[in-house]
This record gives sequence, structure tokens and C-alpha cells, in this order.
Amino acid sequence: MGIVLVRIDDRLIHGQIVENWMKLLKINHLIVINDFVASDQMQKALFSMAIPDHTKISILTIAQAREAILNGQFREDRAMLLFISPQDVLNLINKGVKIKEVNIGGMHYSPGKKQILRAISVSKEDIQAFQELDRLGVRLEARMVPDDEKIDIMEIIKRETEKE
Amino acid sequence: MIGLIVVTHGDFGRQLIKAAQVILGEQKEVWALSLYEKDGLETLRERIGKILKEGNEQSEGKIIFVDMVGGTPANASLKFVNDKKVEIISGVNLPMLIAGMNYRQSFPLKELARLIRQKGKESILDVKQKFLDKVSKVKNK
Repeated sequence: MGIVLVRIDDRLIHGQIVENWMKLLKINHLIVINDFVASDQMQKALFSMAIPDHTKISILTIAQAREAILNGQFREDRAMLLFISPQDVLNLINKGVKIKEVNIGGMHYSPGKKQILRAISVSKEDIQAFQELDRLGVRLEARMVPDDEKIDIMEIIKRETEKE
Repeated sequence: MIGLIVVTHGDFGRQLIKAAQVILGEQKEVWALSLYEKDGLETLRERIGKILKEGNEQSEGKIIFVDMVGGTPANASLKFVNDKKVEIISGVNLPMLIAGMNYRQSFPLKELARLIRQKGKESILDVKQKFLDKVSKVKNK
């Protein structure tokens, strides 16, 4: 089956992932892709504690993720890729990995960011990354939990950038 | 669908349902009953009875979650002890309610109730100890 869902969510693994998305999509392998998290032992332990016992978890750098995906390592799994930012997704695509659709679940507010949806706030760099992903033909849908309405994040971004 | 009723002292149940919906999204067939200072045992019994009657003919049953054995919510629920379409579970917490919501379309009433009790028991952990075990596992890899 391979990669079932690609998601941007800066909380990475949490209740909505474990109790909702993973169950609905029958995910058996969670793959967190971020260079900093991959080198952080505490975060690794935290995430391995957050998931159900029978689930596999991999926490990879972007370079490691590229190797694993291109070598077809997740082909037998029902895998979910989790990213912190659109920049990381773009980075992986630019290294030769094909991604058709990205779900944006949560990008939290911090000073300098602009809130565009209930659970999504973006910086200028985020917007640039989304625009580049859009240009590359990646579908970008904002949706926190599966039952929420799918929102085309590019429409929201267009509206916001036209205002300025 | 199996209905879920959370009966508690104060607004605990109402807020617990809200918390579960943050994780799972909007849910149908879920009710909260709050016991306030002014409410008596009989009022609460009546309110539970009214919810149990909703769609009772075709309903696959309902689970009443209560906060603690010995409290009025639990005592009021006991009026329905002989109702075969009702299960009563005490000690409700977030993992239990989430399990109820997640699995109520996969299991019949009695099995769902058993699963919920099991999830509840498994959810109480020494978090520090579990975390430290994981840290040492990650380091030894």
C-alpha cells in the first residue's frame, strides 16, 4: 500500500493522530521527518511512548527519508508521513520524492505568523513554500480531523496575499 | 449506533465530551448529564430515563459512564440495572470515552463495555517510569 497520508502538523504525534487518523486509515507505520527531531533522543522517546504498541515508528532526517522512500522501504506498510513545516515537504520533493497530496493539520501561532484558519498560522516563508508546492502540482488540503471540511489552503493564501 | 451517556458531578462530563470531540471531531448519539447542588437523585434518574428512551426500539443499546461508584450519578444509573440494553461503567476518563466513540460501531454492547473498562485500566500509568524506559531503549538501539 505504501504511503497513505502525508501531513503537516507541528505537534507531530498527538491525540488526533493516534486516536483518529491512524485508526481511520489503518496506519501501521508512522514516519516523522525532520532533521532536528531525528537527532533528539528525548523527542524520540516521547513519540515512541505516544503510539500504540503494535505500531512502527521511524524518526528520520530528510536525507534518510529520501533514501528509505526511494528504496521502497515502506511499500508493504500503510505509512503516514508527518512533517513540521511545508519547507520540509518541499525539501523532500526537491530531492526527488514524489508527493501528490498534503494534508495540513496544524501549524501553530507564534509571533510574526499570521493566523489564516482555526489551527493554521503561517509565516512568509511558509507561504512561499506552499506557493512553490502548488506550482509543482501538489494538492494542499487543510483539515484537522477527518470529519472536518476539506479546505483548499491555496485559496485562503491567495485571499490573504491579495489583501496586503 | 450504541449511544454514550456521561453522567457526572458538575460539568465534568460535558467538558470531557468536548475534549474527546477536539480529538475525534463532532460525535452523534452522545449525551452529558451534570449533577448540580440543586439536583436530587430522582431528577437525575428521570433525566437518564428520558435519554434511554430516545430511539430505544432500534437502538443497539447505550453505555452510561459515571464518575465514581457511590456518587449520585452512579446511584441514579442503578435504577436501570435490569435493562439489558444498558451497560454502566464507572471512573470515566478521556481514553475510555474515546474508546467508546471509536469502537461503538465495531462491537456489540457488552464487548464494547469490556473494551472500554480495559482501556481505562491501561490508561493509568507511571508516566515518568514509562518515559525513562523508552529513553533507555532508544539509547541502546
